[in-house]
Amino acid sequence: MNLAVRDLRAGYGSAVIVDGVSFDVPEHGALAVVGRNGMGKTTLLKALTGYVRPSAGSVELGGRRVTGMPTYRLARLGVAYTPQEQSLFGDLSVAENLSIGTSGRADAELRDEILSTFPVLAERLRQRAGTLSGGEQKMLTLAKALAMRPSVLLLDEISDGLGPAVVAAAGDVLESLRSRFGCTILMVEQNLDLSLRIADRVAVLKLGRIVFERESREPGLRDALVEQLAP
Amino acid sequence: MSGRTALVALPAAAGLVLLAVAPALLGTYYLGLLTTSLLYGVVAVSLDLVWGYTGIPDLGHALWFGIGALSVGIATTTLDPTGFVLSTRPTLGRELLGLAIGMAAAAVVAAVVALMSFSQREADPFYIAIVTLALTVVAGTIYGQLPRWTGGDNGLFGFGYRGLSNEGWYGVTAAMLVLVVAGGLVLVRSDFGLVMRAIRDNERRVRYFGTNVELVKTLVFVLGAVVAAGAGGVYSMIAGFVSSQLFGFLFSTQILIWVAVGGRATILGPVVGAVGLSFVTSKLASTWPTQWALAIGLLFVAVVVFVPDGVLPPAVRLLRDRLLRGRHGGGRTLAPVTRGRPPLREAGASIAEIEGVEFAYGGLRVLRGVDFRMLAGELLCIVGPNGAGKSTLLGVLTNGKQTMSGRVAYRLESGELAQRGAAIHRIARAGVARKFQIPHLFDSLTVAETILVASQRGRLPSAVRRTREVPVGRSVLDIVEATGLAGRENDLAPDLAHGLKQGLELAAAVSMRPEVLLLDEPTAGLTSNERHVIGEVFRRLLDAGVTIVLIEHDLDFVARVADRVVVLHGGRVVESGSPEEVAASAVVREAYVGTAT
Repeated sequence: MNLAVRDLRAGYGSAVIVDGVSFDVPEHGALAVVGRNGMGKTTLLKALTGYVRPSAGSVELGGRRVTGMPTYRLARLGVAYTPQEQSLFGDLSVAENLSIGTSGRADAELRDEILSTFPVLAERLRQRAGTLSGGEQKMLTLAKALAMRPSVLLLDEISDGLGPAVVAAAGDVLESLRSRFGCTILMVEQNLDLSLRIADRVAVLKLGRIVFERESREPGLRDALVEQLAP
Repeated sequence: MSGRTALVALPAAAGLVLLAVAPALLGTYYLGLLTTSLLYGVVAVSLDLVWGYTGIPDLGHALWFGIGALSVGIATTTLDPTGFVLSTRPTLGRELLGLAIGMAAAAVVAAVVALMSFSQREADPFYIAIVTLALTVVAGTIYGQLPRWTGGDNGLFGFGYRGLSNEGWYGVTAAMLVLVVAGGLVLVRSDFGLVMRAIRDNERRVRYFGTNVELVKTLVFVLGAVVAAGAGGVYSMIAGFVSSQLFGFLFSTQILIWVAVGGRATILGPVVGAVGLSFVTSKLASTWPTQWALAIGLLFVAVVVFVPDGVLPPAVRLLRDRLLRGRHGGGRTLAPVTRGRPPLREAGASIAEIEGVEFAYGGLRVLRGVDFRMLAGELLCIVGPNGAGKSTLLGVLTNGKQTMSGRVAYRLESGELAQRGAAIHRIARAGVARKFQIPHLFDSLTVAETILVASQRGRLPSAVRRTREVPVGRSVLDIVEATGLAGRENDLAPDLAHGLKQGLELAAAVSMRPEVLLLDEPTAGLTSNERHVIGEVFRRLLDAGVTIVLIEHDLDFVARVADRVVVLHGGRVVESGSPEEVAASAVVREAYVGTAT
């Protein structure tokens, strides 16, 4: 499913955080949004996933208007979201966390692949998720979203708090998921290398607006992004 | 007059005018009702301090009111052994003696209850709720069993003080209410009031700022009990009547409802709730004896559905939006100070020894014998794969009240400190600050307020003074500047973006002016430019003699800032040395590059 966002505005109370954002992610495409802290990246994802109600603009998913649709209905359409702050069921086991939300879409092969990507989780299937370390909980959050075999995957800083080897493994599984199931990805990241590896295009968000957008193949893009992110 | 002051001053002034004109407008009967309602207002404010501001769910607040009331009754009546009132001696001296004893007795009982309920171990927050609920039920029952003292089921009566007219009593209770409201407002707006709110929002986190949470909660709980007992004492001086109902569950619930309907944590809201509801209820009850209960019930439902914060906060918001066009008052700033740091231990001296530390969560062994030491003035990085036990290790270093084996000994400037048995706040106060991996902040505190609470490092602040310029060192200002927090000093912590919360966690830890700074992924969520500035801040802290321990995944950052690196893997230290030495080791390559080849 392609994702088309037009002039989206959202915020909290009178504060406008996302101030007229437009972009397209084609079906099976991947867009990375980078930006400094407080520029509206997380609010953008929350406005797309029903956690924050957009005040203006439109969001279309596979040609269907979904602006302001509640989170559970978006999830049924195949939208998976990994929030930056914890979103696990702490009292459930790792295995239970992985199977929640996969009803009707469960895929044993995918599950095995996810578990082989994160061997730590495979070792701890019966452990309570709340007792995992911070990094392991991040892995489980990502694994849980992947296990839903989503059509659209919205990722909020998955590399934050993960060791480099795990970030690399997460990159592998994301690439594999895209090639096998044709998943559409919108990722918010601080990690430029992961962004450039996964995404076809990279956009820079500044004060709630997209101020820069390029193909990630473009030579010299990394340096240009570093410059864009300087204060 | 600042915006926020106006928000309190306007309703308060309106209330004062109403209080002043009421006697002229009301007949004797309704003036009597209003007098009682004002005392209920005092009780509601006392519960608001305890429950609304400090988050202690006192479900039996009527107990304190009842103790005050009963004490006056006992001091002024003579009973026969069956509890029949033989005679009363309502002299002013005896009435006031009863009042004083009642307040003192409430203080003692409240202190005992607090000591039992607020344990150093992380007590379930519902424990105090159950204890107070049980006490109020038990007190109501015992009352009937001790007729020799309480008059039993008939209660005590006929001891009302007759030396004051209705108008006189009205004046006394109005003055009491004004005094308690004014005192309450000063307290909750003071620096101490910030600590109360911090405890309500996140009791666990505030311990790591060095605050003795049990002490603060006990002080507030006792204060609430004493104020309520005072109101109860005056109530029975006026009514000349005490019964078991004043102690009971129903009255306790009513007080809770007044606070909830008026608006928790607003001081004025509970007054509006108590005075309004009790006065209106009495009036309704006399006009429509049967239908009034239904009307009140519908009102409660309406409040819960439409204004869950209570009636006052939305009114205040409306006022604020009209009057101030949404500008926030708050008005705290960070003010740079250059203070001579206390002299720290000379560089290279051993500042903490960690020997054979083992720790398990239930059956899951996380630390399996960790040994290393920290040297004064060094930056020590702890690296290792996710799940190696890094954050758990910081938890052990900062909390001696957990079951573990092994030894952690600090040699700080403030003296030697064994970790074993030391409460979180004691370790923090001795100079060990911790930043958490995932931000744990306070929902109702702004950036500047969070830093203010942290910078006190457990000293109990003034209950009167309100610091407007929070004194902070240059390092804190640099962190605030670098992470984009500058200009957001009066933003509420939960409204910040994730990376800014990380910045605030770091700034708060540094503002404690610690000797040892334990930082769990301080650069997570920060851009590379921000990391660079943070690295320089660390360097300056190290030059000042602070010891820093970092958990970090970014190996480039580690190579740039670390003096020494410890590699944790499977709950053990498997490698330690300079960043170059460690980078070459097989374990690190496996964990960080993904392959051992």
